[in-house]
Amino acid sequence: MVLMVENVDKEFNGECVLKGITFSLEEGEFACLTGPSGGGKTTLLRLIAGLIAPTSGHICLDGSLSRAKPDIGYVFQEGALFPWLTAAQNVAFGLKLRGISAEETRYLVQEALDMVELTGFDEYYPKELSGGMRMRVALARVLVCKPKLILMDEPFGSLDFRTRNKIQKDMVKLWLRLKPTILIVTHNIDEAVYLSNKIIVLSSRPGQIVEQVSITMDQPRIRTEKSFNLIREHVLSLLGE
Amino acid sequence: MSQFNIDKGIKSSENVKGQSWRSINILKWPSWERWAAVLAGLLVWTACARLGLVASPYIFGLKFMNLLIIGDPVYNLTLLQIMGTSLETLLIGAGLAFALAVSSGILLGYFRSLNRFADVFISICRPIPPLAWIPVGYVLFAQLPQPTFWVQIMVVFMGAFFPCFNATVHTVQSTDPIIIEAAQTLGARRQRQILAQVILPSAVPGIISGVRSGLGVGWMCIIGAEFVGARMGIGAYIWSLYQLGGRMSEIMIAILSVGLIGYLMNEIVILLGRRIARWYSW
Repeated sequence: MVLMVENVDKEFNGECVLKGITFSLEEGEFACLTGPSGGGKTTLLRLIAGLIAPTSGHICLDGSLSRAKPDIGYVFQEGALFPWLTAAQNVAFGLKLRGISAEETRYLVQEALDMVELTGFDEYYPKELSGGMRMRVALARVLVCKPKLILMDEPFGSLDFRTRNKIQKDMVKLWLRLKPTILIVTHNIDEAVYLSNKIIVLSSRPGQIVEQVSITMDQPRIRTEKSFNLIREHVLSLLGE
Repeated sequence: MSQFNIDKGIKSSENVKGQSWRSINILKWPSWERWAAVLAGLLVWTACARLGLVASPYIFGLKFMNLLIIGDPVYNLTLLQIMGTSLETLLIGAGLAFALAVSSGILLGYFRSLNRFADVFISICRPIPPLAWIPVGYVLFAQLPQPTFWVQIMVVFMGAFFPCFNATVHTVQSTDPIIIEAAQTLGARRQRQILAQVILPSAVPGIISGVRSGLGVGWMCIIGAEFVGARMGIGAYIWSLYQLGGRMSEIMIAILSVGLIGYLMNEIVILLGRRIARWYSW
C-alpha cells in the first residue's frame, strides 16, 4: 500500500472542511478525486502532500507518517512552473536539490522531456510555451524525481478541449508504461472515468467520501462505449446531478 | 496512421506560440505617428520663430552643435563634459542607493515583522523631498574636503533609494505562493533554499524596474542639487546661464539634453532588463 489516509478531519477556523476521510491507494493505482466545488478536494491533496497538517487523523505514505514527504510529486493547477527557468531547468530543479550530478541530471531531464513529448523544447521559457506544454513540463518536473505518489490538482482544467483530450490520452499511455501511483483531482467526470481505476467521490462541505467507484475497463478507453457511459452516469448520480 | 496525424497537428499548433516570442525586436524603426509628431513640432516651432518668440530651429541646432563640439566659451567645457560631471554624481549616488535599497528591500520584504518594525521610519522619510536634505548635508559634510560633492551624492541617494526600495519590498512580498509551494514539494525544505532559488530570481524584474524609476528620480534630483553650490554639472550650468544674463537658447538646450539623457538612461535599463530577465513578459 503506497498511501493510507485514516480518519482525516480538517477544520479551517472552526469550520469543518473534511470529515472522516479514509481511503488507500495500492501501488500503480490511478485514482481520481472528484466532487462538487468547495468540497475540499484540493485541501485533501494538500494534506497528503504535507503542505498543511490535518486537524486529526493520519496520512501514511509508504509506511511513514512524517509530514515532510519528498517522495510525493505535486502537479499544480496551470503547472506552477518557475518562469525564470527554461523547460529543462524547471525539470532539473528537484534533481539539483537532491544533489545529483550535472551529467546525470542532463540525461534524466532529457529522458523526462522525451517522455512527455517535449523533445527539443529544453531551452524554452514557460511564457513561450502553450498551456498544454506547460502542464507537460510540470509533469516531467515531477516524474523525473521518480516519486512514490503523484498528486495532480485539476491539471487539465484550463486547457481547451482538443489539447485536453490529447494530453489525457498521453497520460494514459504514460501510466501504462511506467505504472506510477497517481491521485488526480478533477471535477470533470468524463476525465475521471477515462483516466482512472478508482474514482473517489466526495460530498459537498464538509467533504466526506460518498463512494469509491472502481473501474476495471481496459485502458485506453473509448468514451462512446456503453459501459463507459454507465459508469459516468453512476458517478453523476452520486453527485446528485 | 490517422492517430499519427492528429498528434502531429496538435504539436505544431502548440509550437506556433513558442516561436513568435523568440524574435524580440530591440531597435525598431519609429512609427509614422512619431515621424508626424517630430514634423508637427518643427512646424509649430518654426512658426513661433517667425513671430519672433523663440530662436529658430536652425539657430538652435547650430548652437547645440557648437556646445557639443566646441563647448561653452565661458567655462571652456563641452556639453558632454558638463553632463559627465552630473552623470558621475548620479551613478555614484544611485549606485550606493541601489546597493542598500535592494539588500534592505529583500530583507524587509522577506521578514514581515522587520518590515512592520521599520515601517514608521520609512513612511516618515519617504515623503521628504530629497532636496530638503541639502542643508543637512552641508552641515554633516562640512569637515570633508569636497562638501558639495558629498551633498550632491546624498541628495541623489535620497532620491534614488525609495523607488528602488519600495519596488524591491513589494516584489519580494508578492512572490507567487504557489511557486514557493511547488519548490517545497520538489524538495526545497529549507528557508534558505526558498529564498535563494525562488524568491530572489522571481524578484529580478521588479528590482530592475525599481532601479529604473530610482535612476529617473535621482536624475531629477541632481539638477536641483546642482543649483545650490556648484561643481560644474548640468544643473549648475543651467543656473549659471541664468545668472549670466539668461541665454535662453543655451538654457533650453541644456534642459532638453537633461530630458534626452534621462530618456536614454531609461531605455538602456529597459534593454538591460530584457537581457537579464529574458523570461519575463516586459
